[in-house]
Amino acid sequence: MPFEDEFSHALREAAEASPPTSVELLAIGAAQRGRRRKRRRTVVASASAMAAMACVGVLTLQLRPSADVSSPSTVGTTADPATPAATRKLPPLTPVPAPVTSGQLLELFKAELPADLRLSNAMTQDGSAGGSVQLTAAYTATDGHHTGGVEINLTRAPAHPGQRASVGPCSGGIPDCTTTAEPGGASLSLYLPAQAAGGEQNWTATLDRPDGSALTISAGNIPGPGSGRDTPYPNAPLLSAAQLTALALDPVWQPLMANPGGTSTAG
Amino acid sequence: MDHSPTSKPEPAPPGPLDFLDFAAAQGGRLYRTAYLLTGGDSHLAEDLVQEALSRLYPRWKRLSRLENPAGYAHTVLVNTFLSLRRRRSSSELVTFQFSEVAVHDGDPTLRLTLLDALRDLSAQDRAVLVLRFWEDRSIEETAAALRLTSTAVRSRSHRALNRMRALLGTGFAERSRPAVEPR
Repeated sequence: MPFEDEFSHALREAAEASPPTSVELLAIGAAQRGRRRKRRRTVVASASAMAAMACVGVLTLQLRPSADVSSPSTVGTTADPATPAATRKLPPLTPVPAPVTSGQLLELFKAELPADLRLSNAMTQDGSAGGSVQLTAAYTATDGHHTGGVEINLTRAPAHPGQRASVGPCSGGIPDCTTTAEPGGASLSLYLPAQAAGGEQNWTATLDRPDGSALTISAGNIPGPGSGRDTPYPNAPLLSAAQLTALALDPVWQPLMANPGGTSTAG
Repeated sequence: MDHSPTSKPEPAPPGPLDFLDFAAAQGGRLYRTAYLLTGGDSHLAEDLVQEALSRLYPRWKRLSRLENPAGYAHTVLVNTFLSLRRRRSSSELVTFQFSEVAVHDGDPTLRLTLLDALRDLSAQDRAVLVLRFWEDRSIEETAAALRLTSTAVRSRSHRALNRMRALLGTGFAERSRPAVEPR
């Protein structure tokens, strides 16, 4: 007998000599184990689906452009509209300052004004039209002898390529108005008119920046809202030309000029 | 008018009962294959059969429609054996403890010698021999079941048989049988 046949015969004899104890128990045990396996697979599949959904959610949140990207802070930045959103190069992840409100402007203005002025009748005003934003904050100020109004006005207009950002208050050869160039392409216009026939006098210092933003600090003898007075104060403005210039050139306004806009918090 | 349905009712879809029937019908044969694969370890063989059948259970509705589900079950058994051997330890626990049964063994010496020799082989060589010489599968069928090439199966089979011959010797079956006294 060839060895292969002999070996096959021996395998059969060995296998037949060892029957299972109970095929019924074997079958029941297998079914029980199978049910457990099926349950486990269902749980794993559910958990995987939930994990996948969570991953998709996280990815979506990460890839979604921030709402601030389209805020006025990015006015002037250019993005190719033909470029698909998925392939458009995203701006670097630098913190975008929140839009400034007139209430914040009022507080900052108060801190920057000379300490010897007592301030009252605070007023704020927000305005926006045609993509331009304007914030105004004002006080009635007194130095103990004289009274007047002080005001800050911050505007930002959308930049138009090939056009000057701002014409400037002295354009047209207005008397008592001087414009000086400032670093970075900005210009400072100081307008110190004489008292008008009715007694009104209002001095302004305006800083125009090439990005379309402008800051105007003004001081005058015209009574503001809430003062209970309807005729000009009989004195000169409470801020001198030097004080107006210093205030207009103060770098504290720069971050505000970069991101004006928001709701009024007039008080 | 008779409105009773004339068409034959649809056969019930296969369910757990069918699985139990199948497992009970094939359990004995699967166990014997597992017994040889494990080199005579009856407890491991029962565990292996339960594990292999439990792998069929979640897909039983589809598998029961195969032309030869028994053949598929044997293939799963062999692959389960090989994967368990690779992992070395199984975390599965035996669902039922079987009581020891007396084995009606005509030739315990032959059986023990053969099982000892089988244990001396690698798991894959053992699987090749069991499929070829116990299940009578062809080279191609064995290759398909073990996911090997036909050449690899031939080579492994040849090598394993030589090893068996060296361990058992030619004519081992005759030698191990007790000599019959002449009257």
